[in-house]
Amino acid sequence: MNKIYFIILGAVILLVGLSSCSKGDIGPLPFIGDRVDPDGNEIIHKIRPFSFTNQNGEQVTNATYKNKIHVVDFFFTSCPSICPYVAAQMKRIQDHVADYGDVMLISHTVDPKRDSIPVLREYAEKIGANHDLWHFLRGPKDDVIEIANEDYFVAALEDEDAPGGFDHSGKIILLDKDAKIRGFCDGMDPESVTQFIKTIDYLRGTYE
Amino acid sequence: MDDGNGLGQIYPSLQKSVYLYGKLDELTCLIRTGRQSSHLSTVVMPSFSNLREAEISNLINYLSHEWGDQSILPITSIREQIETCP
Ligand code: HEM
Repeated sequence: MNKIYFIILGAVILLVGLSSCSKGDIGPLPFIGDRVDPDGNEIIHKIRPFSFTNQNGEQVTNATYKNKIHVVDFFFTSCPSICPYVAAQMKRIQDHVADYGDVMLISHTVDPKRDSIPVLREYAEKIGANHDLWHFLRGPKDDVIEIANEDYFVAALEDEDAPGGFDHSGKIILLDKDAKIRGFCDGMDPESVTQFIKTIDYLRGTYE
Repeated sequence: MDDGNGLGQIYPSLQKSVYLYGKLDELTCLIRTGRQSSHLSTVVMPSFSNLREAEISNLINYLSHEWGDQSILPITSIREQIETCP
């Protein structure tokens, strides 16, 4: 009898051990941005509804991405500094999630003046983006900068002195299927992106 | 990207770049002046005109060592090239 218990106990420990290994030490993900207002009410933070145009010329809204996990960054095609590097990391993520079906990538341009839809289309094409999986979105500059700062918590602003005219962070953001922020990584640091990719897989696992 | 392989057609790979096989001397002005992308009008490689001879020399010899045929560009030819850059 005791023997059987030990075998079962052993098997349980082994299974728990294995499952935590395969998740790469990633624990439950936080809900980033949730807070309590001065009256003590809890505020659930999520990305506000939006309506932008993608590189295929299609109007997209938050409803387009309903029931998808999203991976988001901010960029502009004429960016002479960090963007090519971050774009290469987004490409890496795209290749990892290519067959998932429930993960999409979004790159918001902060420079709608220069980044017209045809320019975004050409850029997407030539860096190897899959047009169905990875959307390059164009919208009014002030709206994009506002959601970057207020909803995604990634600094983005127009600055004549910054390379290319915009100052923005190379952060990549993870949103769950309810448009709530569940993680960040530094798109300039491939190690951080490796961990982020594991976090995407972990988040997917929570929907199974 | 760290491995020099660029991204798609827009940001060309340094691995096997023709510049690193026999055209090292053309790199001086490419780096100093930058270049308009031949694929997309909004994309430009920025100019690094603040780099001095020794820095350019280090950079070019590094590229040649890492991804090219290991040849070395003498600093004298960098000096000459700089005079002629647009
Ligand atoms: C000091 C740093 C850099 C060096 C040494 C360098 C070197 C080179 C070289 C050797 C090429 C030619 C490759 C070939 O055609 O075989 C090239 C092209 C290019 N570089 Fe850079 N690069 C640097 C920084 C950058 C940066 C920061 C950007 C950011 C936008 C950039 C964007 C480009 C683009 C777009 C081209 C292709 C131009 C075309 O279409 O002909 N480069 N670079």
